[in-house]
Amino acid sequence: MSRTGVFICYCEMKVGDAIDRDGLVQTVREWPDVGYASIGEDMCLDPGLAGLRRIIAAEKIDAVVVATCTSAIHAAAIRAALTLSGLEPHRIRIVDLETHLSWPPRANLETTRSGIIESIRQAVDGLRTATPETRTAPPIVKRALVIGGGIAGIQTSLDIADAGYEVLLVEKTSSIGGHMLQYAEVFPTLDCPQCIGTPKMVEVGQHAKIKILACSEVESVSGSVGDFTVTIRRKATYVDWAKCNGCGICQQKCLTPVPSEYNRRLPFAQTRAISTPFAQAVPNKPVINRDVCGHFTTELCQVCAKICPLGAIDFEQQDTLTEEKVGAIVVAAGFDLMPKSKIGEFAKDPDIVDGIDFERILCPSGPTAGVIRRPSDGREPREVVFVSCAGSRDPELGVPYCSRVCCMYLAKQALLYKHVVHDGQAYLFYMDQRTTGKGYEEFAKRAVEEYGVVYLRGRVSKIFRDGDQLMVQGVDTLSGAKVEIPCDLVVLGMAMVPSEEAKGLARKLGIATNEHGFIAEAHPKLRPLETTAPGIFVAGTAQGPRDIPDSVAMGSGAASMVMELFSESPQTRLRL
Amino acid sequence: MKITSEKDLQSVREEGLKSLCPGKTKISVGMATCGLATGAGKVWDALSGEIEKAGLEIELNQTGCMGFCQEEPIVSVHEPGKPRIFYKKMTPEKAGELIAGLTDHTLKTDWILGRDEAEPSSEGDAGKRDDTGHPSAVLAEIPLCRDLAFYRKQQKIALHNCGYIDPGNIVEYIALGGYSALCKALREMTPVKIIDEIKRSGLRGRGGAGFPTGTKWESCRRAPGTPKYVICNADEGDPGAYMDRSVLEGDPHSVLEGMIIGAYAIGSHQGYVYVRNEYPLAIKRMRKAIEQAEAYGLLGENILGSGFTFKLKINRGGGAFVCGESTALMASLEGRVGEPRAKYIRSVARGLWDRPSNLNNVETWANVPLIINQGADWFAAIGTGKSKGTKIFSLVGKISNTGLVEVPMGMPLREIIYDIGGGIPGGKKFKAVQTGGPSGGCIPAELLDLPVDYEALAKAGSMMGSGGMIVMDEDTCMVDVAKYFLDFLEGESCGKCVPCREGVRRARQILVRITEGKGREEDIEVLQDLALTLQDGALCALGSSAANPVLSTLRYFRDEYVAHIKHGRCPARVCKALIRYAIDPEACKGCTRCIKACPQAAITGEVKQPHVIDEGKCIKCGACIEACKFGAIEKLSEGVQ
Amino acid sequence: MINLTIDGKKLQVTDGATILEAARMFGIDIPTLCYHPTLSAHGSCRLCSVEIVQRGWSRIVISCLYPAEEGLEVKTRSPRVLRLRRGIVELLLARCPSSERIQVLARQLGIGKPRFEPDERECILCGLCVRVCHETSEKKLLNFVGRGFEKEVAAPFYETPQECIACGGCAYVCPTGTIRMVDGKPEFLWQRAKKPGQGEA
Repeated sequence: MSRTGVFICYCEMKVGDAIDRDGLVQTVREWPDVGYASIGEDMCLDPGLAGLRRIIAAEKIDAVVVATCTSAIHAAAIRAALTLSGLEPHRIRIVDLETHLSWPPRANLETTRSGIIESIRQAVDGLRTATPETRTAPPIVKRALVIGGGIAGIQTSLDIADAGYEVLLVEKTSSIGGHMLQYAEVFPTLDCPQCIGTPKMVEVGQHAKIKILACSEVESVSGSVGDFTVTIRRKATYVDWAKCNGCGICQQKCLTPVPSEYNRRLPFAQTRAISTPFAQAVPNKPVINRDVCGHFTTELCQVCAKICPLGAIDFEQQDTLTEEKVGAIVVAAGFDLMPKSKIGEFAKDPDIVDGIDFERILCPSGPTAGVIRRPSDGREPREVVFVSCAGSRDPELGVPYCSRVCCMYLAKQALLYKHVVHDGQAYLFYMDQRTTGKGYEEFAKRAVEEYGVVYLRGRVSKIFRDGDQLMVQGVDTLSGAKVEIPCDLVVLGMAMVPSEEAKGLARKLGIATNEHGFIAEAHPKLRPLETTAPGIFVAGTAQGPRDIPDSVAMGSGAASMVMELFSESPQTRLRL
Repeated sequence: MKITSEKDLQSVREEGLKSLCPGKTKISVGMATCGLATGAGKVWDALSGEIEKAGLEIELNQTGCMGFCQEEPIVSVHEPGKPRIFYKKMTPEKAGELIAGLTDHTLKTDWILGRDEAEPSSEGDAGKRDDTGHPSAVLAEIPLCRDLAFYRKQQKIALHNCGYIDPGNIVEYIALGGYSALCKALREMTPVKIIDEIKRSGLRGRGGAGFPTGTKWESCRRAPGTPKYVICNADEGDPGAYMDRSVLEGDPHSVLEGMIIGAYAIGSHQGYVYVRNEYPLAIKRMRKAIEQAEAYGLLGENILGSGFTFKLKINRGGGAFVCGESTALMASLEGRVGEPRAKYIRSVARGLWDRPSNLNNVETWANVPLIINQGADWFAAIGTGKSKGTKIFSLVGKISNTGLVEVPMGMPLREIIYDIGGGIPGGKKFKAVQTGGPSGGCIPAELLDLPVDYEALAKAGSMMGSGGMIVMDEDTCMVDVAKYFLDFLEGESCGKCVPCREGVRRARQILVRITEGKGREEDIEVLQDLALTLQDGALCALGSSAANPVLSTLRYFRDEYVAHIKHGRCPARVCKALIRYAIDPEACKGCTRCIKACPQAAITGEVKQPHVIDEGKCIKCGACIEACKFGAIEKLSEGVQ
Repeated sequence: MINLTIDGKKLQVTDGATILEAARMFGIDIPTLCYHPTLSAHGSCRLCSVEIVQRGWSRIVISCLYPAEEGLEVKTRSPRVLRLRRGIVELLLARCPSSERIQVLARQLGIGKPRFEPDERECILCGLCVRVCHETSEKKLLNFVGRGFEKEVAAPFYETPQECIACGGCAYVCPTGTIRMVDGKPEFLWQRAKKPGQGEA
């Protein structure tokens, strides 16, 4: 005969009148098997837990239900204490009151109270039939899926693989690297991201334990922590990568030049219908863009197919779906910049560019070879205006949040511009200076003091074309004056938003996002790398605007959580 | 022997002088193509036979063209101590008498064209008989060649050796100063100085474009890249032009010497002579000249012991007029199809095999040794302000004195045609003179006072071109002339660019229609539109100047076009579809000569009765007109109203 | 970097760029027929002709080959240029009236029926197929044959070239659709209009 103890944790602040203190205990005591029921305080803390244990010992309780306000945080400590008291895992149930507390606003009190009672009853009933086997999870597949091959995903993959576990790295484009590889120089060190990023990419490509699935997306996910079944769609590239050796002759000979998406469709350099995005791509295998490829549009051209010495072109190639079993998933699907057109039609002007466009223009290995040219006519801009918070902190036209990195990268871009064009003029409109990282404040100051970037505190109200130039109208709140700056180029610090794929991904994975589409954490303060589904973790800008060091840190952090899951005695799966 | 010093050169000079004046009677036959065409080869054979028969010690040799092609075959006889005498229109039949005349000291004065100065001069000894027996008075009466109307106004610079030396014998060239310019250039002048001399002389390209030669050499010298090439454009293609042919056949060494000097100035060690395949004699003479120059150390390795090496190769054309265009020529030299290319990057910078290449015309090269020897100032004193020196013209067509003339730039056309050329034969009226070949235009009578000068001719709607000068009289239909040139150009167009390939054909189609009496009112406007498309759009000068013959005939003879189009009349009575042959019944004596001559049996009539031509059968061949002794047959063009 | 002006718009391009490349990079339209961005320029259709002004002198050059020069002034739609363009398209329309590409050009320029006698050929001799075969597939099986109006594109001896890899490049770049792909192999004009004495297709 089982003797179940039901403990309901109470505190004025969190639980309050959501429970009818006396009535609840009364009700519970009358249930079959319940030998003891009480309402206690602060069962998340040591005195509370000590009290719990005393009662268990004294009352000879052999099964326990604990109702706690935020089981996500407290469950581990409570379980640990109960285990010390000799209770087996299948004899413990933790009821989470968070869902009922609806903090704020509260639901109808009656509903709350009856809901809480129902949850506790279910837990008690569940204990009755629980057997050790039903509580034993199947063996954990020690294989991780990392979704997204940017710098966060790369870091995660390397850490997990170095620990000896297999990693499947799914990347939607044809090469890993992500946005970081597109930049010119990264703040505050002004490192060349290609130089510091490509060795890591090569490491990933060569790692025995990492399998890169490029041109791939997650189609569907089922299962649970330790035992996920993931269907991955590998999109047709029309090139048999198994045969292809990356010689590049197809790209050289292709008769269809097209604007390069990687180079942000800047007019200075084009790519071909069959192409690799950049020279150091990993994997370095080409993809045919069937929307522009002559073979698909006219049925006439098959130059690449006939020229390829290895016969690697396959126009009949189809998407393939494969099923993989993994034990943990890390979402590192990255970000995009909000489209410029969102803040107005005027932003379609060719000389109004966003941050990544300008990175490509600045980049020495980019389409202009580092010569600063503006898109409308290729001339060197003599006056450039940088606009912070374009779309960020703007509930009306954009998003209400701050995109975190723009203050730094706009300062960097203005600095680099002045470095190349000594007698050019750079103006930077800002609202605040959010330069919080290590060395960031000092870096931003350099832009002003060493390079003479003119900082104007104020917003830009209007940008319009005036012949050869653009007119930027704004305000300088420190002097109180309206300013009008005729300039040659405008760089908009557009808001960081989750990538399009990331939104759909959350749904497939069954994890929550916030209202802006960023992946939601298990707990925003204390569990930032775990999603709302156990076994699925998050790293990098998929979770929110981040700079590179933070993305890398999160990558390693997520990796360590995965490694814990794959270790000898994982605790994570117990966080239920 | 290899010449390596002034002393060597001098000894060869002496050898050459001995060859020129061998101390015995020397008979020279003009054996250039013009001479051969009129039978000089048979004359040679006959003379050779007669000399042998007579058992005389006479040296028989060949020379190049003297220029007076109307009088070919020309044979000169040079007895030692006497002036050289030139015989015109020699025939094999006259050979025997000529040789006989040498032994019995008789002169067939009516066979004589003229004479040279004697060495020593026998003037002032009138009345005396000299030791050979020729009456000096007789000799004195023979006009000096240089006083003949044909020669009086000419100034032979590029042609100065032609007709005097044996082109197959280098020592004769050297005897008359040949290769002394090369010596001077290699020994006393630096490349920069040579270029400066050519620049100051004002020499301009004689191939037609008239680009300053010194400037071209300088650009090539300065262009980065090796090796550098010098090229001689001997693809003379203009119909009626044969100046270059005569220079190559009569004095090939002048071109060689010029090229070697140019190569030295530019810094080139390899040259090419691109000769059109239709000039076999020129090719033969050039080959021999190269061989001999090499043997004497004047070409090849270590020229004149100076250390400068320059090699020359002859390439033959494949029968394409367009290969006279410099970039097409270079393509052909490379073994590619002879098509021009856009010249935004000039050949002096990137030409043959993408290397700096200097291309000049035959006549341009031939001028170089004299400029080096006699100096830029001497050359610049001849000609006009912008057109210096002389120019060789081939004076052909309806002209009494057909031949090659070399005149100082700036001479009025009138003087060339009437004074030198002897005017229009047969009492006909001058109508126009076509200069510049298919790229040029016609100059009408009212402009005959124009000087021959690059700028003046261009301003009148024509151009100097390579020097072809075709004279036309009242019996020339100017529309037919335009059609003729377009015919030529359509056949020669390389076909690469749309304006020329399509435009020339369409213009020709229109002209054919006009000459067939099917002209339409809008034709002239369409022709003018096509001309603009050609001028602005064509890839090379063949195309861009293709409309010139049409435009210039339209400009000066528009009435003829109007007559053809509007009235169906050909005023010159040339266009067959617009003329008919008619017998004047009053003039006709009924002699039946024309009936017998007609190949179509189109003439009927009784003896002593006026004959009649059946227009339906008449093919307008002109046999009847030739047969009629009474001038009773005429061509009529009455047109339609 | 080189600064030039096209139709009043100041542009800057890298050394070695042509006027056409400069124009196309920055959205200025110059029509072409025998030009392809991945092949060497041929300069034969002359449709890309523009007027340039240099040191006070104005002349017509073709933009696909003329290099951008410092200070160059280019006009792509001056009366002289438009007149030349019309002249060229009228000639092409007379040669190849059934080509859609040329019909479109004619419409844009306001050209009606050409003023010349019918004398039609399917091929406009732009040379794109030749250049693809030389530069892209590098098989070098096609070339120009003959001279003038009767010039044609053919393989040696008018025979179907055995070494053809059927890359389809020639058909793909042909602006008039004269070269077609039949059963995965290119079909050429000379194979359709067999002349006596030519090889079997």
